[in-house]
Amino acid sequence: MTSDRKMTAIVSIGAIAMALTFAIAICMGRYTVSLDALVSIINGDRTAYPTEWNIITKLRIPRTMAAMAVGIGLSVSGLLYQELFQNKLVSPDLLGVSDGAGIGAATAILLGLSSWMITGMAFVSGIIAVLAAIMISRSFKSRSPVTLLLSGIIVGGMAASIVGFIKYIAGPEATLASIEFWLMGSCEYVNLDKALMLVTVITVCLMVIIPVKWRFNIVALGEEACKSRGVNYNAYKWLIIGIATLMTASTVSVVGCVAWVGLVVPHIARLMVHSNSKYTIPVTVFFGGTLMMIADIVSRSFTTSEIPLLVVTGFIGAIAFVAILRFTGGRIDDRL
Amino acid sequence: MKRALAIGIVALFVIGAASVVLMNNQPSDEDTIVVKDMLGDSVEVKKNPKVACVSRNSYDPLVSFGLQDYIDGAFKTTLENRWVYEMEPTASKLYAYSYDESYETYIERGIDLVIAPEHHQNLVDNLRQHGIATIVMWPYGYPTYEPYLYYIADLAKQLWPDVDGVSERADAWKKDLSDTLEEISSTVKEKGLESKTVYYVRGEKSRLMSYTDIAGSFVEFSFKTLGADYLSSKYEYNKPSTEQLLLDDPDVIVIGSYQQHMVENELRTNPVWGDVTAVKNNEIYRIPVGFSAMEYTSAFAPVFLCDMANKLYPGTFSYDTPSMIKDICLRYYGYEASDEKVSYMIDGLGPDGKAME
Repeated sequence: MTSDRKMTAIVSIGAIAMALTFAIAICMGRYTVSLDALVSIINGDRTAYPTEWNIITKLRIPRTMAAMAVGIGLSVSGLLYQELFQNKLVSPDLLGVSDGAGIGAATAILLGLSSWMITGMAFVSGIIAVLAAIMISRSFKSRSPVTLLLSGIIVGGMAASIVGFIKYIAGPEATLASIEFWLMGSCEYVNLDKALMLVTVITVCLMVIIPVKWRFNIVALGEEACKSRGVNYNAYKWLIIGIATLMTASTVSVVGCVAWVGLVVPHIARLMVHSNSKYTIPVTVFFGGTLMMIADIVSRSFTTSEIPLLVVTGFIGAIAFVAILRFTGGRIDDRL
Repeated sequence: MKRALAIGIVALFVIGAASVVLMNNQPSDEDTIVVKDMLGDSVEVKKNPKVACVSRNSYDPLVSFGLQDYIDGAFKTTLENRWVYEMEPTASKLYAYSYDESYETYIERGIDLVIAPEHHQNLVDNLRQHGIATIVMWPYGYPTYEPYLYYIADLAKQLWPDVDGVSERADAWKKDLSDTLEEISSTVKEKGLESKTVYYVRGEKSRLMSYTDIAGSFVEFSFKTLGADYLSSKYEYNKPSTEQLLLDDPDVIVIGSYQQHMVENELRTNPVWGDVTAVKNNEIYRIPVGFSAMEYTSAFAPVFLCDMANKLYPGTFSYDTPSMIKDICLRYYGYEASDEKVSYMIDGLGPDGKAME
């Protein structure tokens, strides 16, 4: 099989895996949905099995859509950042967007605002955090991408302190626990409106990236390589930062903080299809979405209370990363 | 040199003497008493202590025993209940304690005893290490709450033996509660009343339906006394998922605490809950609210039990809960509740007739 055919086969398998996982996610959960009920619901009959109808259409479909979008958004953001900063240990929240979003969400919860306000404030504060990181980096003489990363770490650290202060003043009986639970990530409170909004944002961002995905191969080689090949490095740099920030802020504002996905999935993609963004981006899309849907299934199916997503993705991500390091002999920074 | 040496010796002598005097000024054995807290730890406490009611189910009972003058402050969410100020005018002078209060605050305020919940950042151990007598009291007991039903009453009698009326009120409260429990449980057994599955929601707007009291709580004990199948007994944690609740499909849903109206609205308007048996049969009930949420151990606990008995078994029980509320308000809080105020309490509203959010 030629290399291109092999890559295409892997991408196709990824797409099928994501579709199958979506179907399984709809069927799995604490409430057992019988085959008869499933067939009835697929046929559009909502009267024969009303509870199952509610569970599938109002609970499982929205949260599975959201989980898929989160997985795709974080994975692609992570991949783009790793290529841009030429550093395989970069994750999408390194510019401070997750911690920044945490400020908005924690404040909204403290003030007892509605669910939509929590999402809105988280999104806005996430964007503000990244803008702050950019402004800080521009105040330095150096225009190196590392400066931007360092600025992101500074902003993230400051944001984490502010969130810590908000948690300190929050009432321990319920508000503090609500803030902590939000920060650990969950799809439990995602309704169809939020899921559709998230899917729309991620889809639009992908539609911007995918037509120019081959240029990211050159961006990943650095500024000099771009200049020699007539690619506007700065324009693509800010495009990547803008798109990745938008995707990450959207996902965090809807489901809270989710770790490891944006770091690990790009590595999995590179193991399969090497470092050609013509293939890594689609593979990242499919495997990121699949992994996140699996995490959501695990979080809601085995205990009476939901396990936070941060816990589940932490376990899966850490184990996966160890496996990746063993497979590559620890050489994750080499271009495969 | 000799002068400096002499001054040093004199200073040491003065410090030593002062230390001896201070150590001898500790309360004598006659001024203190050793009590056990809910975890079984023995704690030496000064008699008739000035107390900080940090545990949320401690302030109400102590006020009902007539110990207002000994209470320095209460947990801040306790003081957010507007009924507290309606029924106890001195409450506005109370200090609002948080779980993170520094031990220096307690020392500065001259607190002799802190009644604290067991968990939250080693609160109890920290205070005890700094020499502050701390007793654990919280709304859970393991494996059940039954051994702790009268704990606060017995504690009050031990700690405030010299205060007029405390012993009588504590005994009266114990009798009220035990008589009510006995009457209800024996009627339930005699009549063989049908057991219903009950899910209790601890009304909190940020958590809506996913917040309950699990095994070991007074709420669990109460509903089991009422012959109900208390759903939350089997949950590992107090936040069951929506799917879990739909799977368990309770026959009755009972909503307590201060934001109960908001939770009830969610239950009745969100179509996700539309096919739950309790919603279909309109078996959704709210718990009255008074000096504290009535589903905790307080003078109003008998009202909670009787009110739930009326609602779960309307053909068998018909307690006059408005009269009970008026009687308890007067006997234990010195508060003359009008019919309007009583109706607000029964409806889970504030003293102004508005929902407490």
